[in-house]
Amino acid sequence: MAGRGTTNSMAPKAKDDPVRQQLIRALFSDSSSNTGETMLTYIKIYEEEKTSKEMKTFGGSSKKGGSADRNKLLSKPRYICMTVKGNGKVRLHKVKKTSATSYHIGRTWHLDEIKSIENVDAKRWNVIINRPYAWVSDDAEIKNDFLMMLLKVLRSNLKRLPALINIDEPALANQFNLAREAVVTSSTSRNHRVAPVPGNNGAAIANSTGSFVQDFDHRLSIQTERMKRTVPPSSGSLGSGTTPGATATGGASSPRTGSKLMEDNEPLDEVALMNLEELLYDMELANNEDGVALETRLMNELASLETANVYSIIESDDRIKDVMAELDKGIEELDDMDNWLFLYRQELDSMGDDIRQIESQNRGLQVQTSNQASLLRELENLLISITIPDRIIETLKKETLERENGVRKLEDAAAEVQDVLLSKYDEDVAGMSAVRGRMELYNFHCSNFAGRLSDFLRTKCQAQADQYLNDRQRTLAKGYVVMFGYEPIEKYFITYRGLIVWLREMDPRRFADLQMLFVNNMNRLYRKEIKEFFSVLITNHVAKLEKPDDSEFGNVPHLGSLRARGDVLLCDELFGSTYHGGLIARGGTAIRESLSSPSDLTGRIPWRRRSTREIHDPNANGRFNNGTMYESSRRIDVAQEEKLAVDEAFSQALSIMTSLAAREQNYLSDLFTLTKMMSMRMFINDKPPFSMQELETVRKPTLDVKSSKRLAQLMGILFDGLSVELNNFAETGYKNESVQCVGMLISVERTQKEFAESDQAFLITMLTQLRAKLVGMFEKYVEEQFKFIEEARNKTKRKGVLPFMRIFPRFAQRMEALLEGNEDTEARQLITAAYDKLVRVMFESTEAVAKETVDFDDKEQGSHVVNIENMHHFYSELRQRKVTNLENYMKYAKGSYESHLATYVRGVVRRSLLKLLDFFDGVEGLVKAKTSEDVGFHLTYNKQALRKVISQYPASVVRKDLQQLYRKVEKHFSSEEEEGLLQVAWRGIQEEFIRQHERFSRLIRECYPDAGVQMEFSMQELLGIFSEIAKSH
Amino acid sequence: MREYKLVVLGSGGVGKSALTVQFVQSMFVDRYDPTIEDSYRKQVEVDGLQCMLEILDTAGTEQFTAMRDLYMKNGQGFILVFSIIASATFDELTEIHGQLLRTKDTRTVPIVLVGNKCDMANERNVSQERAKAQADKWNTPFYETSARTRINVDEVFHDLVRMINLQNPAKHDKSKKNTVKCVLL
Repeated sequence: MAGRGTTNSMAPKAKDDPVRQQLIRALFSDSSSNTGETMLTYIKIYEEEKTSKEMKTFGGSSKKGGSADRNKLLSKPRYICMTVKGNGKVRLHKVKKTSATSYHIGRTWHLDEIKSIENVDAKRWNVIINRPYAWVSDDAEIKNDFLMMLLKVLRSNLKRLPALINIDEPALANQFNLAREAVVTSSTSRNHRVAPVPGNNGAAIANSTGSFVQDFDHRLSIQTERMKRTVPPSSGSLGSGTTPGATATGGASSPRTGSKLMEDNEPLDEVALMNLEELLYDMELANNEDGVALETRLMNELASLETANVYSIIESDDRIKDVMAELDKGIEELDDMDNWLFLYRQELDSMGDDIRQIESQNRGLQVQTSNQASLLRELENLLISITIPDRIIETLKKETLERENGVRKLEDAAAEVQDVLLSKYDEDVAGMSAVRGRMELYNFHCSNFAGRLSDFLRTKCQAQADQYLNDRQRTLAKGYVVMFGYEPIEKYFITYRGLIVWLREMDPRRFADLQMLFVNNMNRLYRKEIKEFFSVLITNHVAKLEKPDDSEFGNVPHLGSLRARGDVLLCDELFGSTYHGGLIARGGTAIRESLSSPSDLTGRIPWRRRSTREIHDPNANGRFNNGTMYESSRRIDVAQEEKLAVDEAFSQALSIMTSLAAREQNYLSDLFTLTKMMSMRMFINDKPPFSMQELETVRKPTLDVKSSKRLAQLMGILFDGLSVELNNFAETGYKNESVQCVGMLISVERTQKEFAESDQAFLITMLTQLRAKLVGMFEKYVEEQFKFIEEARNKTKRKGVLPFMRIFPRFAQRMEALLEGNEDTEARQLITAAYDKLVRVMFESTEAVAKETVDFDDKEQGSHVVNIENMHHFYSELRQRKVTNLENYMKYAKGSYESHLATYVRGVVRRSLLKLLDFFDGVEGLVKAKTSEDVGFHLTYNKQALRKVISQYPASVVRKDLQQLYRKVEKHFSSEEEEGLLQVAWRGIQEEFIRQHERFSRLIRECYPDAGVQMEFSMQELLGIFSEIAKSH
Repeated sequence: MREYKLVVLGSGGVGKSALTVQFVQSMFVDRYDPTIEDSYRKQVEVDGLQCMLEILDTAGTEQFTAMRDLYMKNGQGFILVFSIIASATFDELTEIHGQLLRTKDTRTVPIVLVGNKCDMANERNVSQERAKAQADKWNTPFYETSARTRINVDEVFHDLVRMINLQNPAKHDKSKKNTVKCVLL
């Protein structure tokens, strides 16, 4: 009956139920709810928190204490709302009223979260959801209603029900039905509660039974239909009474529990059937019509109805407009949003572009960064490479040049600076002001150092030169003729050649100046030394021609001893014409050689002393301690009082000077490192070899024209005195003893050969000039000889051996001796040509003199005698002296001699046997023309004539004639040089006599066999006469 | 044999001596030794004729340039040398060329313009076009040479000899003078 009691309270609630409206509006309306939930029902409860705890604690004793605590703890009014979502899910919400009209959902549970429901008493019930809740509702009826509905919902939605404690379902159902009845009967305004629900169909409206349960069922069915929209509606859908929720459980419980309900529903069903039939009728459908067709039609109808219904609902509802408007608004907003999105997209696109651009810029920046980093590295490297540590600059500025280690340090420092200054940079790099500045700075330091270096070297050079110039120790004396050389200076300066290499690279001008300075200073020394050398040599050690030398045609003997022999006139005449000096001595070979030089006593012949430098006595230098290491090879090998032949002295001097000059050139080349282009660094790393000994070697030419010219120029300055001195020497020697030009010439040529393939351009030039001069002298000399011979034709005596003939063999011998071992020199050709010229003119002159001789009684025989004597002398002398190379002339001379001798002999014999010879010549002529028998018949050559001729030459006459003839011949061959010729000639005469005698006898026998005539003097008599004459002399 | 007096002019260090020595001796002078004055003689055959060239290698560095006037008076043909790697040396030739024309007082002096060191083309500072333009302006032939690698060395000297021959044919000197005299009369 409590339910009745609450009917009143429930009625107003059902009528307008402001709480429900408020709840819906606040939480579950379309606009306010974002959950899409529809509220099914609600219940107001008071939550008893403490109680619930106690309940939990005390368990079953809650019945008593529960009521006691109730009033005390009813503190929290809440609403439990049951809602259904769009997808059919049912949830419970615990809602708190926050103000008059606003609500707040405190908690939300799904149905399956409910663990148990316990009915405590009429108003109180406990629910365990996550934790136990103890709720008290105002009205037991409402509580029961709610529980009923909850159970229903639970059954229809959950497979497993939560634990139900103390819940009497049938009782609940009864209560519920009672309540519903009461509602149906008492309350008509119940429809209001249903009104907002849009799910009313035609049947429901027609039914007009707005019961709460129906309403609830209906709402459930709508909900179920929504859930199963795809499922074709069953026929049961038409049955409004049938709950769609009557599933297996629901369906089972309701027929069991609701028999009363069924009864209540029957009239309603009847009405519905009637309506259906009417309806069917109206629709002109026969009952017997096909059910299927009917169903189809009905379905169609239903569909169109639903459509219409939807339209009508839409049209009927004002809110639709709102909704439409809202939708339009929404669409607009969507459009807006679309625009915004479009813009946004554009924005994004452009941002994307920006990002890409930024990325590429970034990459660019990275590249730039790495470039800059590498640039930085490059610059650092550059800076390192162009930066020279200060200590190096300091070294360049301050380090001493005096000491060797200082020089080494300076070389290193200079190399360092040079490396930097000479390294090639790109134009860009070189253009950098930092680089430029550095370079300028270093160039400044370099030029300072170059200045310091060249000043230093200049000072040193001058000082050293001065020191040696005033060195009293270095004086020459008799027997001490030496070139000292300047090894100490050389050694001193070679220390600096590294720096000189540097100077050449860094300051070519100072380098050139230094070269000039060096050679000029050295020249002061050498000029003085060379001058002294030659002056001492010439003054003290060259044999003056106060000695006889008849190896020259011009130097006709004039010694008193020779004058006696008739040379006086000629000598006096020759002095003026060929010789300037009056010192010329004459004499025989023996005298000359003994005077030519004291060394001859040792058996040495001056012109043979070619290799004296090599074989000289090393002890000879023992006396001199101030000499240099090279003194032995730079000393003229001569004793204090010894005199050398000009050519020997010249040869030694030339040899010393040329080797010294060659050495000096090698030194210059090494000191200035002329043969190689190198930087300081190269010099330090690979020092070109240098040794004092190596300077002596003759080097091959390696330089280009310009450099060798330069070197030659330097050498020319250095040895400017040498050429002059050698020329003077040659002149002096020539004046002294002209023939010496040959010896000197040969010396020069030999030296030339020594340097022919070398780089000694200076020496080669100098020697060439010297040789030209000597060749000129030689030619002049030959010319003089030539003139002398020519003149001799007119001036000399006309008998005996002519002077030039007498001299020539010695001349030739001397030439040959000079040429010995130098057969391949050009002097050989010169001399051969001179021979040719001289011998030719000699022979010519001899012939001419012979022809014009006036010194003989018989001119013809005199000429023969002159020829015989001279030719024989020429031949025999040359043969005796073993002078080769003149065979042709010797042969000619021999032939000439023999023919002249034969002619002479014949002539002499003819004089003696003139008539006999004439007669027998005639006989011989006849014999040749006719026969020997016929000769006797010839008038002139008959027997009488024969007898007459023969009778003229008795033995006594012949003896007398022969004795006379001998005296004559003896007078002819009176020249002292050719004493043997008398015998030769006399023997020839003897043989001729014998031959003629034999001839005469033979002819007598042949032509006058029967005459019985014989020569008046027999062969025995003739031989007797000859031996008689020979004995007497 | 006809003799030709050739003069090599140009700034210091352009390679006048190197060029001359290379021509005379076929040897490259790799060291720098400032020339004061050097003369070389060499007999060559140009167009089948034997010629004796007397080549005067002059000083490029300014200290020694006082003699220039004299060289110019005595020389018959001139080689103006610059270095392609130093444009200043090219510019300085303008002055030398001017001096040459003033000294010779004629417009047709046999001249060859030479850009030396063409083996160092990677350090080039004077373009061929620029030099060629100058040569055209002066109406002279232009050669790029390398004394180091002997490029165009003979050509320069031979061409100069030809120019002298062309301007001053050896055998017709007198007859030409005579005709000129006649015209004047």
